[in-house]
Amino acid sequence: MVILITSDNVKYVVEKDVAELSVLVKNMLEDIGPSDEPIPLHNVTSTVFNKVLEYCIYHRNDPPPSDDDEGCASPLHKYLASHICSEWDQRFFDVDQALLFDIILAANYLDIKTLLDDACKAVAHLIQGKSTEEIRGIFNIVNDFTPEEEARVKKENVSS
Amino acid sequence: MVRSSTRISHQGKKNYNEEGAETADLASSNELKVKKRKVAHDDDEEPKTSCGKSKAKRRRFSKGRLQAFLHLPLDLVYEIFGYLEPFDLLQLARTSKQLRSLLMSRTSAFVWKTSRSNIPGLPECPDDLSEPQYAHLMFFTGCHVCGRKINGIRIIWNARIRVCKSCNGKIFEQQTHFWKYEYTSTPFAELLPFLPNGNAPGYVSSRFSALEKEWKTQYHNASDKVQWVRNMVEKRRAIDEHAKACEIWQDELLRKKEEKQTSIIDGRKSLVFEYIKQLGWEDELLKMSHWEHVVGNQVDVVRVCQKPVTEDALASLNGFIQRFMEETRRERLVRERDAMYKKRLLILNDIIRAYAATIAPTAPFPTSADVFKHPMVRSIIETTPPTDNFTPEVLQPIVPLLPQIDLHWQEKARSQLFMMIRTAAPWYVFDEQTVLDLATTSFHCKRAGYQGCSYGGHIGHPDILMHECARSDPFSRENDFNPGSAEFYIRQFLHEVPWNYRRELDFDPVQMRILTDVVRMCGLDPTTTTRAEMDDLDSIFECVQCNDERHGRATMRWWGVPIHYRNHRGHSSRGEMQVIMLNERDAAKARLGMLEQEQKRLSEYSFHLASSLVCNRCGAQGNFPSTMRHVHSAHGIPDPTMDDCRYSHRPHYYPQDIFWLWPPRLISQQLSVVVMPSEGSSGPQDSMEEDSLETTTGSQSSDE
Repeated sequence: MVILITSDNVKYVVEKDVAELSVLVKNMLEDIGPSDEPIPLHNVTSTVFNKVLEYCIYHRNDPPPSDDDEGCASPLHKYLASHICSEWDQRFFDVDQALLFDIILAANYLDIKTLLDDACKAVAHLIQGKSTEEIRGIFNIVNDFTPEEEARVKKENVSS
Repeated sequence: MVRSSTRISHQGKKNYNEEGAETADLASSNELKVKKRKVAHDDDEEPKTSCGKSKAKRRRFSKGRLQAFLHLPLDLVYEIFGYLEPFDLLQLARTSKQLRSLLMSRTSAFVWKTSRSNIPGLPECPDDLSEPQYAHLMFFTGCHVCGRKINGIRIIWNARIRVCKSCNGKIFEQQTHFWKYEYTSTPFAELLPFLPNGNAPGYVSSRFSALEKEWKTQYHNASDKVQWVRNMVEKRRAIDEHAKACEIWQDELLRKKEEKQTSIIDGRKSLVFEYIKQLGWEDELLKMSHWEHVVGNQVDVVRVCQKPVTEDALASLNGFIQRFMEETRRERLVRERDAMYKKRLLILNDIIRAYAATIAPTAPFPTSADVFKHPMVRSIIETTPPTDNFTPEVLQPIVPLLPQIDLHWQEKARSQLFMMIRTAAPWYVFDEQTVLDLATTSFHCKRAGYQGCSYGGHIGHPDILMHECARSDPFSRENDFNPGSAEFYIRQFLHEVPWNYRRELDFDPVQMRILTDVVRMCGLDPTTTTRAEMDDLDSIFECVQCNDERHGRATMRWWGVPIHYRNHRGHSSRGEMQVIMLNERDAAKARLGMLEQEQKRLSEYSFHLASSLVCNRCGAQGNFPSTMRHVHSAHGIPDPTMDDCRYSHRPHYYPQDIFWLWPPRLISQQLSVVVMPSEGSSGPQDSMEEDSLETTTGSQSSDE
């Protein structure tokens, strides 16, 4: 078992194979050797870590990402990967945007590649196929173009 | 926004920025920073731009959420962008100046490239287009001129534009407009993609203008003009090749889209099929051939499957399903009944043909429709359960009955013939035992001459029983029997009808009068002379009115006279038919000619002639050559003739009525002729005293 402490001082006792889905934790465990010392997770709050832990427990038996996955060597593979997501994952990422971005940050910090990829896909999914106005609405982006600028922007990519 | 994530510093592995240090510097300068904006507290207050122009009203935004997105490390932002398609990036770049600045910078070139790699098979971005321009070309499906997303957008790949019909004229200029002036004799024309445009091919105006500018500034100043042109042509060729690749990709995309749509609709159709089964129609569905295809292509089903299939949508099909499946069941039952009758009637027909083969080749036999009238036959065919295997053995019990059925049918047919005579010639008193054998008793077919009947002018008994028009309908005639009845199926599958069902046969008193005159001309008694006696006598007659300088003399046998009468009557210019009986010298000459003519005709390759003759010795059937060969080989007759065989009643074939005897008769010759039918003659029962006078008058003695 591994003891992890989040930035808001919440202690988690986690099975080692689950904890080691995080490359950060795995490296730290290798560095400190066998020990009962808790590992601090400075950039992750307990709210976010709850979600991260939920993901890690569900995916603990997934095969590790291959080298091809790592480098995203095949565009088709990546294309398919970006479009294939289990129902569980879809439900998992159906959260408030702020939490979703926190999950991205946490996954990035903890170096959990699959979670990071899936979370990025979830954000990308919010943008895919949307119009400019819809994207502004989803992310509350302020349109700082003047109408003339906006018209010009729309036209400028016409090649002929 | 931080430049890069902690993960990168920890990992030191992955660097999405593939463009090196220069790009990294540019990226630093393009970091997304959330500028503090004045939040409008009053919605009615219009925000002002720096130049004082009023802006469109904007949505209030949640600062926290926006910050959450824009405060991600840049490499994570790029990570997210990497999952987008090029047009999504273009849309993002149009949302705000910050995102536009980020995505349009050189730093982000790799994002566009990554994004393109998400689209399988997408051709590389060509040199003449920027990534955003390429994304716009490939994925903005509206008109590039007016921006409308309507049907009928035309993609001109080598002009890098999509254009609607109404804008086509605005951007397109015909070739002739330009060529008239300064470019007709220069290499300029080779530089610009030439576009088909219906009957008015030409160029996209803006492309033309841009190239014209290059031409005027660069070509004239180029030190090596040939090389300049070569380079430009190469560019144009590259554009054309890329355009071709785009076209192929687009076609493939559309094909896949169509396949996907088809697959989705097929999936929905399976829900409809299940619903139909749940409604209790599964058995009926499985009895249909290609039922998935048939049901799936029904308009109502296709309409419902255009959208996700809901319970309401399925319920809306209830009426259609009920109507469609009931109609399907009705049609199936009809088909099964059709198949049942077809199988059984063909067996019946085979049995009748087998019976016919056992009787004399010239003997009449009933049609399937007539045999079917027998109660036992009808009962077996109609009441044997469809589940039973209906084999020829099932109909075997009727085989011993066929001679009896045949006799009964002939009796009935004879009664009909007597009735025909009585109806047409009420004054004519005849003996039923002999009248059908008399030479003067002649029937004719109403279809003769104009409805495909080859010989209807004179038909005696028993030939009349086998006359095709009395036994079958022409193919052109509608099957007007009650649909579903046995008679309907007999007509449908065997083309047979009960004998003389259509009342096509008739007794014509005029023919009787003509034949009465013919018999009298031979010096015989028309009240007793039989057809066999007339055949034996074999007198030859001639219609002198039909004498033709090109064909010869119209000669005929005794039975040919009434046939010729009908044909002669059709030619009003020839006047009344005037007949003489030939002297024996001319008659012998005519008989030889007739024989030769007949043999030649019977030797023609024709389906109808295939069984026109019957061997006198064994009943084998064939046409003239095959019958002669048969008689020679099977019966050892060294030099067989027509005397060794006889006509079969069964084919459609009848002998020709006219033989043109050569040379023609001189116009000036005076003859004693009989005008037929003779005035005042009512038939064989006229006085024989008058008969002898007419016969004498009609002889050919004066001809010599």
